[in-house]
Amino acid sequence: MLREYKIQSTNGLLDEPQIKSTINRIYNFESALAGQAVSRASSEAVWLGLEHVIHNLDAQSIALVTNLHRDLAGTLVTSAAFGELVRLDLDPKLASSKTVKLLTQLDATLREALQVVRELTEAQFPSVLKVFGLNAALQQHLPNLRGQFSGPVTLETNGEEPVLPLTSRLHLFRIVQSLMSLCMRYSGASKIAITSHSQKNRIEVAIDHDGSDEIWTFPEVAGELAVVKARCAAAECEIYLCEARQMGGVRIGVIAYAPTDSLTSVL
Amino acid sequence: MPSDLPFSLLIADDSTVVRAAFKAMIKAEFPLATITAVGSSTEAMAEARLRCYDIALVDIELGDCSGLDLISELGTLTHPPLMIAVSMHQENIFVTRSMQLGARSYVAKGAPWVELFEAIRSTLWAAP
Repeated sequence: MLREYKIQSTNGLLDEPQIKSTINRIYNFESALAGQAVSRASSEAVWLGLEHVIHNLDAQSIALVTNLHRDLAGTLVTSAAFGELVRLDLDPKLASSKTVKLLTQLDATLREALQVVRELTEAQFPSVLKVFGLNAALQQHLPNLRGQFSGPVTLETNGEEPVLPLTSRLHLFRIVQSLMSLCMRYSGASKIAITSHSQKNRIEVAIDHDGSDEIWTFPEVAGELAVVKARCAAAECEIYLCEARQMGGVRIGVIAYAPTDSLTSVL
Repeated sequence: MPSDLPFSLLIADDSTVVRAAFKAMIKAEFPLATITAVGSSTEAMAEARLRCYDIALVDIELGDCSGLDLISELGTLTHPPLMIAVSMHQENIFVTRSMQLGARSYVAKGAPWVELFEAIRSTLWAAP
């Protein structure tokens, strides 16, 4: 069974016919994905399986980041400290140059390992996303996006971002990353504008571009879209398509809701 | 060369081994320092309310809350310690946000130890 979509006008951008049209577009988009190779029933099972896999992968990522950060990085910092204490304890007149050199090498090796841990941690769950939230993470990610796209990419954030659970935050960030990547690679757009609008209990990220609005039915994007959809389901986000009036093109947006018991804004 | 500055220092870091490492290194450099190490922001606030510390070394990512919250909270005390943020993270936003919230210095974990020592010295010298 296809998921029921409820799309409300956001900031007065959509009127009633547009909302209906948007929902139909999403149903068509789902049907196009679901009908490609498998029956409706097995397609539903595949979606559930995908949701499950992604949910578990992200939970593992978060646990891994905690272990990497607190345990492994902590151990490396401590080992560097012990090495330094040994060096300080050595009598400079008696210590062999080989020992001093080995301690220097040990220190450099530990720092390199720490840098690797840092990079692994960032790849699993960007620290800015974890500590400061989606808007700061998007801001940090913007230079990468600009480097991958020939036209202008702008980002506007407004409102006070609600606190989302870590898993939802990661889902939302990955969803926006994927949608951006798909727009840049397949839509033929010459410019892209990202707007993140926050209210007390929700955050909406809209990606406007002046390229094709047909990319969501391209077979080559189906796999990545399936992951996006599974992430949306896991984080209970809503995804929508509509006209981007100012851009004269297409908007794809995602809306995430904060749990009612954590309505405190991030820093 | 070890310094003979007497001062009190509070370390807040959720990793036991890191607390031990910081304590040992700082003690080696500042033999007259009185050091207390705690593992959570709750404990850090309780300690800081109990006695006046000259310096607090705060990890940005504490287990029970963000170290940034702790920096803000410590800043509300009648006699707040001078704060130094420490973190694994090197992104500018961590530095600027820590400073905005009241930290005097920011030191990356894994930086040469001399950077931490210099941060402590400059923070003490800058004290009113």
